[in-house]
Amino acid sequence: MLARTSKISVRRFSVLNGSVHGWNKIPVAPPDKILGISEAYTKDSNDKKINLGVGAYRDNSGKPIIFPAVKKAEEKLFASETEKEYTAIVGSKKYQQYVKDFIFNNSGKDANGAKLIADNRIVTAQTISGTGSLNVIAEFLARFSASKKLLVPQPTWANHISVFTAAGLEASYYTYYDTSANGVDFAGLKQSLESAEDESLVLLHACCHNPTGMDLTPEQWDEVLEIVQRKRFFPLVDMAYQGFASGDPYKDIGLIRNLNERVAANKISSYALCQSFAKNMGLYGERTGSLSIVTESAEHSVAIESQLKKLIRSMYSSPPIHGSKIVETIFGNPELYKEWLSNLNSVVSRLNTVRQKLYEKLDKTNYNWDHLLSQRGMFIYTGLSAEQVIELREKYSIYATENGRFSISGVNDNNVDYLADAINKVVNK
Amino acid sequence: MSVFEGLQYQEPDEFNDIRKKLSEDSNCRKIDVSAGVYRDENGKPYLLKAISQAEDILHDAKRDHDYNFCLGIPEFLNAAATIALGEKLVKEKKVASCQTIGGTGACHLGATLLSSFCNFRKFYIGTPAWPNYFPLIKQAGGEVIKYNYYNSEKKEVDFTSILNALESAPRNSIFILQLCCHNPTGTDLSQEQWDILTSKMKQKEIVPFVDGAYQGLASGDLEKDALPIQNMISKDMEFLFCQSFSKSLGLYGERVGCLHVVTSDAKKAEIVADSLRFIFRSECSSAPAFGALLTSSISKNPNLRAQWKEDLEGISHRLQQVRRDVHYFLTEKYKTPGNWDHVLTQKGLFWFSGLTREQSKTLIDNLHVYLPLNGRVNVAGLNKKNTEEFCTLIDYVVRNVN
Repeated sequence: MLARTSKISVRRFSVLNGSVHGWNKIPVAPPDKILGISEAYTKDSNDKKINLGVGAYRDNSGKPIIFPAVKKAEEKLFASETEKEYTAIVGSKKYQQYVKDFIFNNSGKDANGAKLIADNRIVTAQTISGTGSLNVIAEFLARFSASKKLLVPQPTWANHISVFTAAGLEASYYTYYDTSANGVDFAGLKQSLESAEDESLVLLHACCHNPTGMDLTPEQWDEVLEIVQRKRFFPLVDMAYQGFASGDPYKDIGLIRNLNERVAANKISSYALCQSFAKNMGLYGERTGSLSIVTESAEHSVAIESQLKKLIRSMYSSPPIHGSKIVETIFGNPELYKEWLSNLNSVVSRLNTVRQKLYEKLDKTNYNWDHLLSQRGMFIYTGLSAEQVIELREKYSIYATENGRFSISGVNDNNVDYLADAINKVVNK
Repeated sequence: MSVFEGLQYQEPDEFNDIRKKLSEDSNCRKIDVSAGVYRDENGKPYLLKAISQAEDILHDAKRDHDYNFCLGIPEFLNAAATIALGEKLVKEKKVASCQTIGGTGACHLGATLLSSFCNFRKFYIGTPAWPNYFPLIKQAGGEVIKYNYYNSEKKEVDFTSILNALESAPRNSIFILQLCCHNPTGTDLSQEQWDILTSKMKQKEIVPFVDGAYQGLASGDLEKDALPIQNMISKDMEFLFCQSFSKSLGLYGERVGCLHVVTSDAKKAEIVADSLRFIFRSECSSAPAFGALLTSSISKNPNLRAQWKEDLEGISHRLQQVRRDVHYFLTEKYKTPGNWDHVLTQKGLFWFSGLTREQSKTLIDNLHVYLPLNGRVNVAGLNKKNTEEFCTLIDYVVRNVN
């Protein structure tokens, strides 16, 4: 990790010097915003407390769920598993194949993607969920990309910047969201991409943009990809919430299909995709995801896969099998597969129902809440100020990140009135 | 112009090639002693009874797949630290622990902490060693300095060379040491050698970085195998311990590991834990739950702990029996030229046979026996059905190939 050594040692660690008790000198790292909130929530004794911090699904009674299809897959696994041997460095061929077929071939609906798969132009590796996938691609790009400049939307997932800079990439923002208007600033977005250096790396959220929940329309994606293409950017797609925008994973990958079309037409040479089953299969803690790189040729694929293997071998050897075996079981069984799609659809329906309910109960006299209905996925990007969020926490035991992002899955029939009431009081103060 | 212009093909991996040849060999009597995993008496992957029972319990218990803390599942961390370091140290809170992606993940995290966050970059590694240390340390930003660990003439630890390396190492250097069942030589330091080494390290302000991948497989007793750790604790030393449950619980693919950083006081442990959280958040967010839950449910249940003890003793006894059989065939039955006592004195999965590259190559290419070219034999690949045949083939190459 030469990049890390040279870059970070100047910026982050110059205060250190070698002393016998090395770890005496370690500076305190900034607290993690999202997970810190969970800890504070756990300690709060108010029985009306609400956790809107973590992006994990909760049912209408506020409990984590296991998708029934996942439960059944786990039962099958429990009954049949006879060994726990290591899987390959990049995961099993079966897992890779299912992922490729699901995402790039859109299970038979994307001819361009199907051709890329058939031509061996997609390298897929199982990873430690989404974060691990981002980490591997960041390390990879830090080594092999001519440009180390990565453009990320303003705002973006809090952890993106840490992942990329730790690997030695230089992250900078492109305009994405207009906080005063509570909407995408599309003109600003285009302008800032236009003014960025050619051949930069660019991070795109496939759907359910985190944290704003506000996605681009297909027409807007077209315009953005035109710029990406013209300026020869390398697209890095983060897809953590496939299925959470529409309730149907196949409808949520318009960006991927658009990219595949451009790759097929030789307009974009390659791109990368980080994906996880954390949300859409509820496999959060089992850490199950993937990294795929669409390459220029089968020959490139061989070289790229060998480099990914080399990198992963020296970081963690191989990925965990429990979650990937569940994924393989579901994709390998048409009944379970159908059931999973329907489970996912019900989960997303509940989020949309709650979103609607909350909207209805919010007082619109002094604040326009319409953006709430245009946002998709797990989050409401309220537009509330940090002070207002802190007031919600301190007075009402409602826990959310200070950027005003509320995880909608923490809302349910039992607490929606309390929540709306608290927000109304804070907004109208 | 392509993003990937700088890419080149990697050196072919010797181990991969052997695995490939092995899988393509259709001979039903082929013998695989190449892998670093345990095999049972029938040559099959072995699910520990304790694990099967823990799976039953976990299956009956209601659990979800929710996110866990960056540092890991608290119950697991406590169990893992106690197994590695003992109750006393854990109670004194002089340890920072982070659940990792198996043992490799623990080594990676430890090396990253030291080189990128503490500015300790010189990693001393005795050779031969687990080959992955070298890219792993480099990847984490460290610098590798090699010294000789093993005297292949005498087939014992080259202790003079180790002491010389220590003598020449500047303060704040790091020594990667394997706790037991040294990979690939199977040759461990004695307790006396550990004691001399740790005293010197303390005096010279050198950080021990202990890899405990095989804890429990040397003697069949987790505590006994961890005596060198207690030695360092008794000297109030700061050190890192990279733990893995891949071998001791047979959890390989579930990726269950843990990094323990032992500090001189509880306050330092807190700040180290904070840094580990910071590093791990940007690399993985958290480690996988399933295997960790199996581990902690074994640890907190006295019946399962007893079962685990029995399982480990069974594994260790079987390995020792295989070693005795190999020794018997080579010395008494076939009177193979050379001294074969090291098959008895070496510990764990590996017998560093001393076969030459040519001899190993002949075994692979002509005799359906698969092992790495350095002559490392995983004795777990042997059993009542194939040990004698294996020994006749060893006998053959020793007599006929240089």
